[in-house]
Amino acid sequence: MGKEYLGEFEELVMLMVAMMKDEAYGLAICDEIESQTGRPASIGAVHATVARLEKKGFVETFMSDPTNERGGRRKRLIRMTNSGKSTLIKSRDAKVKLWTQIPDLALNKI
Amino acid sequence: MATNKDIPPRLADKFLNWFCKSELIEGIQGDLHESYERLEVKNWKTKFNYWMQVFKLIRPFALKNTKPLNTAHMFQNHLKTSYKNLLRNKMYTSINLLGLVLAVLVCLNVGLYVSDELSYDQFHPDHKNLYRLTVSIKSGGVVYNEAGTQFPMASAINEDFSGVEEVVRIFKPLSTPLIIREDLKYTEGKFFFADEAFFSVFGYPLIAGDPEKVLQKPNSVVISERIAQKYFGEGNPVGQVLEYNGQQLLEITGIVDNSDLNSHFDFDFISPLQLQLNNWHQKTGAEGRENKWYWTGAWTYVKFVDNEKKEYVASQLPAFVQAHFPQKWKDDSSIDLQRIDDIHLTSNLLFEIKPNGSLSNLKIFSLIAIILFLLAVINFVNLMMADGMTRAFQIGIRKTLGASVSVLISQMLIETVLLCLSSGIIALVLTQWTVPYLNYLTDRSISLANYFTFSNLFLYFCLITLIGMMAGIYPAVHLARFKSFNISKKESALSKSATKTALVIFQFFASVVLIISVIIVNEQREFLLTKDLGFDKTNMLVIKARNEYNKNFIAFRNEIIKLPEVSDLCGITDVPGTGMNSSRFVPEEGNRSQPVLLPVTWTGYDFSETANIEMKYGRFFSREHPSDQDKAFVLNEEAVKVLGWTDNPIGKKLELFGAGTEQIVKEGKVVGVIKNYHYESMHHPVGPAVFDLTTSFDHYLLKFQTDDYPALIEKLESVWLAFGQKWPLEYKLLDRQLETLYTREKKLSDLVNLAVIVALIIAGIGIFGLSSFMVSKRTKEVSIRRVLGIRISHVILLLARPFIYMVAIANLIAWPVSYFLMEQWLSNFEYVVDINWLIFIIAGFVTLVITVSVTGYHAVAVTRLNPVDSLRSE
Repeated sequence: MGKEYLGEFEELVMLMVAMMKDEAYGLAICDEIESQTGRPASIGAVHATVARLEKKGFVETFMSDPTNERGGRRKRLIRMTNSGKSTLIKSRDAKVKLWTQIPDLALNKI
Repeated sequence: MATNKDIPPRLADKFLNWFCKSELIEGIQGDLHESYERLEVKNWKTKFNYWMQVFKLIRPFALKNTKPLNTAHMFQNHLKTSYKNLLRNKMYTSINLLGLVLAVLVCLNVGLYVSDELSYDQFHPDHKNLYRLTVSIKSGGVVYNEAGTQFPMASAINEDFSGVEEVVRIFKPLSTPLIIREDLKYTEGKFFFADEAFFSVFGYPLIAGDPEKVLQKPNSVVISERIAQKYFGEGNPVGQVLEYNGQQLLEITGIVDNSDLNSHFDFDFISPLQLQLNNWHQKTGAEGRENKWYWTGAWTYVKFVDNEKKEYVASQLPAFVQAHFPQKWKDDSSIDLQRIDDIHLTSNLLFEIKPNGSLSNLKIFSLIAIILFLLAVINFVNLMMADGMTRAFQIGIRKTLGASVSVLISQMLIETVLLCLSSGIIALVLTQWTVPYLNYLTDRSISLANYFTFSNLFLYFCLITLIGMMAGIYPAVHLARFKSFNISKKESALSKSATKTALVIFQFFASVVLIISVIIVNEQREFLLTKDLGFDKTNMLVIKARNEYNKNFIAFRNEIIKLPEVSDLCGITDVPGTGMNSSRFVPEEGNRSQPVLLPVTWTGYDFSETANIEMKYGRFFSREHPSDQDKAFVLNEEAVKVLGWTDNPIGKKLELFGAGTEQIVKEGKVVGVIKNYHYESMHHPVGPAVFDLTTSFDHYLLKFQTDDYPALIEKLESVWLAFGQKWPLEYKLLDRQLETLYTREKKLSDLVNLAVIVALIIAGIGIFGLSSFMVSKRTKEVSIRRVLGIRISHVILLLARPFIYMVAIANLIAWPVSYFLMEQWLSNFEYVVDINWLIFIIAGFVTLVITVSVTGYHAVAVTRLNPVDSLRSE
């Protein structure tokens, strides 16, 4: 159901979710994206992407236990689904396949 | 400790809560707060950032779900049902449509007229800084507010004040000049002189000639396109010459296109004022009255650099009066500034260039348009509510199927908007045919094409839609709130709605007020035209006098009165009924340093006989008393009073100052007192007047006795031409000329007449529709009564009774209101008709007759039905 491929920012968020395992939630992803790639990401953008991914069935969200920080609010934690996992792998494989086909010379020439 | 500063802005949180989905809010808000708490410094910048973060969350994924309404389909369905509803009840639709079309039509036309009136003198560049100077002079206890000013004022203003960019004077020759080109000769009433800067200050567009240069040479003239056509046809008039009064040749230096401009100043010829000044200088030198501070003969316009300068000059004007005005006027005189685009609607002074518009008429017109509109809207509301019974089933079914109140309301609103839009379109189309009539009524040349712009049309339809919504909202809300289970009950709360009664009463009220107003306005107008003015105005001819005829006056008069149709002829300067100019007088006991300003007119012998004005004491000027020629005055009764003479003043001495000089030009004795007559329009009380004998007339007043008017004119023309070929015979009937004094009242009464007809039609059809609904509801009742033998007249009474009560209440409210309104209006006049109480009865009677006949029509129709048909089924 839905689109089988990932957008660039979607893929980035998926990777972060995968990286952080059970600790992934909106703000953490924001921070991680900024520290890993150096590009700022707003909370709104991340939440919107997560909502989209959830709709596509690549991730699922669930509420954490109440936390001490953030005024006792719960976190919305994000976990990857199996379908998300396979899509992410597929996407990586496709790119690696392409990368391997580029001769060094050709890339240098550009 | 978390201070207010440390926590994120609360309003932003509230806002987020408002738009964000509840299942997402916790996670998102938590993230926002966490990131905010992490910050070390918290100030307005971080708060602003927080707000920005919140705004960035306004995305589809976060927004609360609105109800999944299939708007497009519903709308289509609403349109369809509305259309069907309108077709189903043709009477309801056509009554509404007719009323609305009439009302919109009237509003549209009034709107056109109002916007035309408001557009006066807007075309001048920088018109916000362009002002006219006016003077107010008090003398002999009378205040004279004049549009004209003294000639030297222009240069004095220019010298005394900085910040005055330009001063322009306009002057109209005292006698209408004759303009000749080869064999074409006409007297031209719109010939003016103006200062050189005229065309650079005012915005009259030249189609030929340079605005800065056209008036440089004294012997030049700028003509309007109309005049160019009249004298030169298709040829190019620039560089050609016209003869002015047979004395001077004027070279045409420019052509102005002012035919479509709305301006308080309307001209056909403009020549440099220098030419007129030169002519005067040759005659009288520096002693001419144009160099003195007495004669208010010129209109003076000032263009200021900016508003600040204008304010400054305005504040200095009292000092200016002190510095320049003649000693005896200094204390009681003032100068005012009128902005040029205000002149047309607000100025009503002595010596205006042409009669101006009337702001109060404008207001009355707008008010009437709004009232008519209200009447139509009330019809609309009432009929929709009355039709509610049939509609109620539809509403009930929709409700049962789950329609919400807002959906029901929107369906009904679509119906009303549809109706309003169609009447808007019909009215717009019809306006094309009514505009010529509007122009005829208002004496304007409004062209609809100028208003047909996209933005105007857009605005028009927006307004119509809005009105449709406003009219529809009350019945729509009322009907939509209807409880489904009440619907099956035949008698609903609808039929006894207090609002409906109030609205109908208002309709009758407005109609009664309009009827009463129309009767009184018409009566007053009739009164103004027919009241005994103290002189004869029927069978009187006013002929324009010329010098050649004045010189030969005795012979000319003898020839004329030989004609069998002519009873008498005399020479005059001021046409009776149109006003007089004022001069300074010193009575016997008075002081020369404090003269009294009195209106004065110069006549020949026989004036009192020709105009048929009686003498109170003494005699009028007479050929038998040679001393009358330079030593006699005649006064009217009022002048005797103003001069402070209580008894018979015959033989008292009176001195007359020359215009614009300090010299006594005439000393004379009072030889007679003439009875008061209305020498001005009826807007003014009869003032004092002095009569002096002269031989240089401006008009000849001729009394005739014949029904064959054309034959008389023919004879007069032949005598006229026997005494000179230069001037054409120009004449007017006196009563016609006097009618023009009351054009404002004529316009008003014409419009009110029309408005009353429209109002009665709208109110009438409203009652027609309403009573037909009411009657249809009582068909069974009437049928049973028929079976039991009721008389038709009783049926009518039975059905009309609720309406008769409403008419009665409406009348009781309307009488005092209209009495008050008409008292206000009549206070504009010095002489008014008495408000007759019969008028009120008539208005009440008219509304009653309309109501009874309209409901009677339905009542009779109901009684014609066979009772069996209406009683057969339940």
